[in-house]
Amino acid sequence: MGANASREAVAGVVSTHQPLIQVQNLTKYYHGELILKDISVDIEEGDLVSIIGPSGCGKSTFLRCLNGMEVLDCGSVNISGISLQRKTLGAPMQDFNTKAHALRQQVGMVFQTFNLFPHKTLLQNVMMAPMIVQKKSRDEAEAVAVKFLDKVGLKAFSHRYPIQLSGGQQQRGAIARALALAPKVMLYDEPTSAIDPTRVDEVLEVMRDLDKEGMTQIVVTHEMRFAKDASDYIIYMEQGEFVEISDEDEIFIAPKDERTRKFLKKFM
Amino acid sequence: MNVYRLLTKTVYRNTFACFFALSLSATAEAKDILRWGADGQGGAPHVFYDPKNPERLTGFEYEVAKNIADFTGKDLQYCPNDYEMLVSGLKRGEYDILMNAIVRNVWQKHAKKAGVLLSDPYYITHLQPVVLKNSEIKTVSQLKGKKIGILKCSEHAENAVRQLGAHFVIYDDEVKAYADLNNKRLDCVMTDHPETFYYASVDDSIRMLEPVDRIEFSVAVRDDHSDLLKQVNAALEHLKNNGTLRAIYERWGLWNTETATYFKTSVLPQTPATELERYIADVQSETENGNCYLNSLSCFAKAAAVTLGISLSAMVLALVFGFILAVFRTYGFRWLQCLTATWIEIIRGTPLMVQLLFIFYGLPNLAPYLSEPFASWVCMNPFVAGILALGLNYSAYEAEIYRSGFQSVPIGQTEAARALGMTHTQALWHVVFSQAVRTVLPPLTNDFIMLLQDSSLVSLITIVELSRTYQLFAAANFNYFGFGILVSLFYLLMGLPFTRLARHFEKSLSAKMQRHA
Ligand SMILES: Nc1ncnc2c1ncn2[C@@H]1O[C@H](COP(=O)(O)OP(=O)(O)O)[C@@H](O)[C@H]1O
Ligand SMILES: [Mg+2]
Repeated sequence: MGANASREAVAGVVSTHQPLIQVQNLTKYYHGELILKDISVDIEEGDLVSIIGPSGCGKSTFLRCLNGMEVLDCGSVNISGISLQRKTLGAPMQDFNTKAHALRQQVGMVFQTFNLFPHKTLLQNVMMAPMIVQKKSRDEAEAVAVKFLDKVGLKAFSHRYPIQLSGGQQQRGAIARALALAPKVMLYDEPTSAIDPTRVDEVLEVMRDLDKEGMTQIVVTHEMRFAKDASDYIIYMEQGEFVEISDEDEIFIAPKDERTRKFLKKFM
Repeated sequence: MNVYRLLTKTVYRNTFACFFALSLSATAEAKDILRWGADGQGGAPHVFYDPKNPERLTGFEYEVAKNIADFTGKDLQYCPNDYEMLVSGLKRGEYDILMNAIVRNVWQKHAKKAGVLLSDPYYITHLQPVVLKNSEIKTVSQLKGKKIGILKCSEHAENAVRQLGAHFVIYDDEVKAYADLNNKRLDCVMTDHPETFYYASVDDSIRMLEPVDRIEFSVAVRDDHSDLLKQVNAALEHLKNNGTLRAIYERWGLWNTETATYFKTSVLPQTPATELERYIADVQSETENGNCYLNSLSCFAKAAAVTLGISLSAMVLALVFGFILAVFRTYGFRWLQCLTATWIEIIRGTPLMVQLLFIFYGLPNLAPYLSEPFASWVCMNPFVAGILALGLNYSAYEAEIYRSGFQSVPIGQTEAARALGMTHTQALWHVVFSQAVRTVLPPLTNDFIMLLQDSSLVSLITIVELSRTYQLFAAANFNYFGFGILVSLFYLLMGLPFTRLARHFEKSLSAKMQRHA
């Protein structure tokens, strides 16, 4: 499903259907500097969306606003019925913390540097959130953890500490850790940038599998090949704006915007 | 001089009170006991432990105190305290009477301010200057411009030195002063005659000059104890009239013209100076063989237990309180951060010794303005005060260690935890603190070794711990060298397991770091 399709769905007359993720007029400042400029986008359940763009353009900030790790300054983010909203710039927000906390349980996030907890084994890393956040029993949590470690192909490494794993393995572990909370959406911030190029594919493979299972995923990436092959559509971002939202083929063959063309030339 | 059972008993009683009963008030007045404050450290012939029979407290003031207690129908209980703290201890109610070379002429002036009452004199003597035997100084008038060693808290000696036109150097005990006289750092030592006389009796390298000044010794009580003062005066009058005091002074070889004139009796002694002779014989035999070390061991071992007990308790307090401070300082509201930062700076910016004395002797001054139970809380028992001061002081340092530990955990760790739906508190607890523990263990353990040594300061607040025991034995035996090595061994042995532990933590940490790299 493409961006255009989702647009139509929102504008649709009949349907009460709501996209899984709705972002409207999202605005974010850092120290008076405008970082996200009035961004609006809808993302449907099951989509895999890639965000590309030069460094410093606000990609990470956008992801962090989606799961409430950053406080948005204006606009709204609505994911699966939970909404963070500010009608006007800097307007007071009620229960931001409570809502953001609820939101994060629906949204898994994977970081460039994996951020596995070094003092826990892989299994313990994955069991932690189910036990602490969802109050599952040890046995339940372990069953869940084993299931997802198996899914990412790391069941055999359950009892290793993060430092005893390769970058690719650590990142797959981090994905399993996020999945253990059964999120509706997965966010990835340059998940393969810190990984040995020969191990990148094993991580991308996991994401492709999740896509097949219908997981909604937003991936900030520099892997153009992956973006092209796996995404439903691609967002090109520059200076805090979504310059172009296009099907993967369009954007690489015939970018609509001059700025996109310039950026992509470096990768061709 | 050896195992002092009396001293040990005090140690035990206090230890018990502290670790088991934790009673906050040291002022509970037992009915039939007369508590007597004095400093037995190097206190011959006033108050000291019998060199031959370590179970026995002795000294002419001990005998006078005993007789006063008997006269009032009470049991005497000896409460040791540092000489300069004797009056503060009396005011705090650590003991009922103070009798330990308290110079009436001096204290009469300060009595009101100090809040004490002074009895009639029980002994009269003078300041006694001494020089090395071969010194060119033959008379007191030649002391002008010279350096004279005097003891701490002897205002009368300071005044006398000033009048002689000389300079004074203040010493903790006469052993150190005489050592400096021998080293030629001093030209003269001037202490009250009894002390000088006893020292001279076992050291033939010194020569006495003519007497200076007149000194009257009195018993001191708190100014709200005028009844007790009357009893003491009645006792002294009685003991004077029935010849008990004279007999005591004669046995100690201290019967002199000044006292005889005051007592209106003959200056010729009737009783031989048996105690003086015994003292000389004992000191000589003890210093000749090494028995004094062996005999002191069990006393040192008990003192080591006190040191260890106080240090461990203080460390637990420091670890817990330091953690709380660090959490407030790092994660608290802005105002809480400022408050804890200020507190930590105050604690780290003032000497531990000042904090200790402030808590023990300073805080009780607030008692009159407070209601119960706060009023009795500020009058802490020495062990509670010692543990509190050490614990509070170290908590400020531990707080900074914890804080750097928290900060050593990368921010990505907290973000990952929060992204997994943990609350801020859960993220801190399960991710930040549990990782920081590993980095802070080695420096915390090292700090404990420092604390073990700093605990020697609690000797300032009447606690007889390891370093205090060292001073007691060293002063009594005129031997700071041998006992110094012995006490150092005790400290080293106690610190050793913790040094090993710190090394172990360091190793396992650096192993982890290497794997991270
Ligand atoms: N915590 C922060 N405080 C201030 N400025 C920030 C912060 N995080 C990011 N920025 C700024 O916001 C802009 C966008 O950053 P980011 O979203 O990380 O970009 P990208 O992920 O696209 O490289 C950059 O100019 C960056 O300097
Ligand atoms: Mg980024």
